[in-house]
Amino acid sequence: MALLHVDNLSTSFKGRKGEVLAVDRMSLQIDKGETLAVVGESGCGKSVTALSVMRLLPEPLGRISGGSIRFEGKDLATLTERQMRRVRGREISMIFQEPMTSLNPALTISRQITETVRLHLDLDAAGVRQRALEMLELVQIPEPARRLTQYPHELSGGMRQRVMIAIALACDPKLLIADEPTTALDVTVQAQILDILRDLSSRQNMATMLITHDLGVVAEMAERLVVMYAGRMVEQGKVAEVLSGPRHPYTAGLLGAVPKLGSSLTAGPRKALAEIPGTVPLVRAPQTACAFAPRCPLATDQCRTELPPVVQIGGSHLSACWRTEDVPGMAIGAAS
Amino acid sequence: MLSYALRRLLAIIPVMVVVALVVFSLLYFSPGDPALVLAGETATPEEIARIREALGLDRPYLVRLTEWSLGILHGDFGDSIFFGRSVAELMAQRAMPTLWLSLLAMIFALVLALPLGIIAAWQVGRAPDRLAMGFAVVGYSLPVFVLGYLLIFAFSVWLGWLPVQGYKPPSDGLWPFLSHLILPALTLGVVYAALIARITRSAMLDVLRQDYMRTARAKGLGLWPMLLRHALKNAAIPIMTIVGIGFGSVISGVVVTETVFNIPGIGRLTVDAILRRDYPVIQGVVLVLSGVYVLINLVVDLSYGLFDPRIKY
Repeated sequence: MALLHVDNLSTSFKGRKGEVLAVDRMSLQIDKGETLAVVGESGCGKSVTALSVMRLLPEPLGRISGGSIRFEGKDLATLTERQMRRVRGREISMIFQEPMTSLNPALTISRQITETVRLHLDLDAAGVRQRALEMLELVQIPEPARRLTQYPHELSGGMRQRVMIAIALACDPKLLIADEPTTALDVTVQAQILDILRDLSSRQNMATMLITHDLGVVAEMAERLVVMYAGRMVEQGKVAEVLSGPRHPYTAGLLGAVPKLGSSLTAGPRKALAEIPGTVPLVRAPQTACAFAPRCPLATDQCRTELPPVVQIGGSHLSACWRTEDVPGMAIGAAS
Repeated sequence: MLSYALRRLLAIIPVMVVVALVVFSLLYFSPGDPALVLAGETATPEEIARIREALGLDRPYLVRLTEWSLGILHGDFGDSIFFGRSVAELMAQRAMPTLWLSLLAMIFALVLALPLGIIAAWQVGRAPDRLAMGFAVVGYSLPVFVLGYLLIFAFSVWLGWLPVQGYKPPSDGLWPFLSHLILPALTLGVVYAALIARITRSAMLDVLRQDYMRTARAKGLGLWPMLLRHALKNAAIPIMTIVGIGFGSVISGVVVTETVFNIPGIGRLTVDAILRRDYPVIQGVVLVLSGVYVLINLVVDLSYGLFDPRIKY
């Protein structure tokens, strides 16, 4: 049985011009110890899905309007705030995109790690401090004892993200949600942070939901992949399967937009970097057609009027596209 | 930190020099003559002139200014025209009631304003927010003398729980002391509380939007640790700033409050001195209160370092 089973989740936000459906009947599963990547452009509902699981939507504007979030048998969508507090930080932890602003500037690093430990684990004062020190060692922070007495502004972005990871993993959660954990960091630091995440999740046998728009990160980190578009799952499967043989035009488009080593942008015949024209639409009502159709080179009248069903391509590889058969043969921009 | 504090203390000197100059000059050039008040309505012009000469009021501006300033450097604020005693002695005698009153008013204000501001920010746009901010508007708009008499009417005349007026020192026992101070402190504290509550709300609103508050929720923290430990400390600097600046409203409120409640403090001394054109007393009080105000704001500035580790002096 899956550790986390998000089933038909809908999440809506009140806006000035009425409600917006940020997530529209979205489903995904994560098994114990598995790393699942969730990809898609900005605004396609990745972060909102994660925040829904954590029940951290900015209330009262955002709310879960349908579906269930089963985690070890309980439906997180229906838990009270008090019950949910025992899940957050203990069973499911989350790290965020912005390490510079995600730590409290007025509290010491020690305080910020130990408060989670004290809250969820039954340890004495010495044990709590020991645990904090241990966590800083695990995320490979040099001079951990000195760091404990420091404040966030005394640490670099990479160090702060390590501290965030230390906080998130301090209570051995079963699931870690990492929302673009390396987007705000330098490339070299990105690699270190990803190494630490991969190392620790396998060591603690922790499942990870990795939200990213970087397909390179996906290939390196994840076993399975879910592609989201306009609040819905459009394709999912094993990373190798999906990246080598996408069966949804949106996934193919994302792959086409990745610059490739060797296809120089400056030397030789110039080829424009492929892009998917247009932007992610704002969804106001449950979708009744394929939301990607306006940007899709394969779109037909059926795509524009009927919601594509999820079809199984083989094994765990799923795609929600009327023309999934034709995707392998399509040419996207100059990248084919 | 220490050198910063010393530098700031030194910077107080020019401020006080300017205050002294302004106070002295304003009173010198303003109409009204203490000699007239002292001599009474039936006095002849010769008698008035004699009094003026005896008090030194007939000497030129610069001479009097220099004499007064030199005296202050020795802690001598001159003598009261009315009482004939030294101004320093008069102020020392009246200081304690005022000190107790403003201290209690400050405590009242903080105890009332911080929870109101925090709850208003947390419940922004909902009933508790509207109620708290409604209170702030009323509290800020209600003149001290109106509120004072309303409270006297309700708690002293109607319910009979508290004395109407007067002051008892702490040496007379805790309850007599407190019971005489509760209403005046409340009266004086409400305006201050309204000011602090509004700033607390806006500072907290700003902090609650920050990413680190989401991190705090993601840790599974309860509401109060989040609001108090994580949010309030980050909102403390604007709150402390208004506590310092708003102390000005306490000083001006003291004058009216002490008159309404008949408390023999610095405020009453000031009002009486103004009515009697007792210039040395007015000058002394204004100078000392300005000094207190500047010092309190220095303490507030120094306190920033306690709340924000990024601030180093």
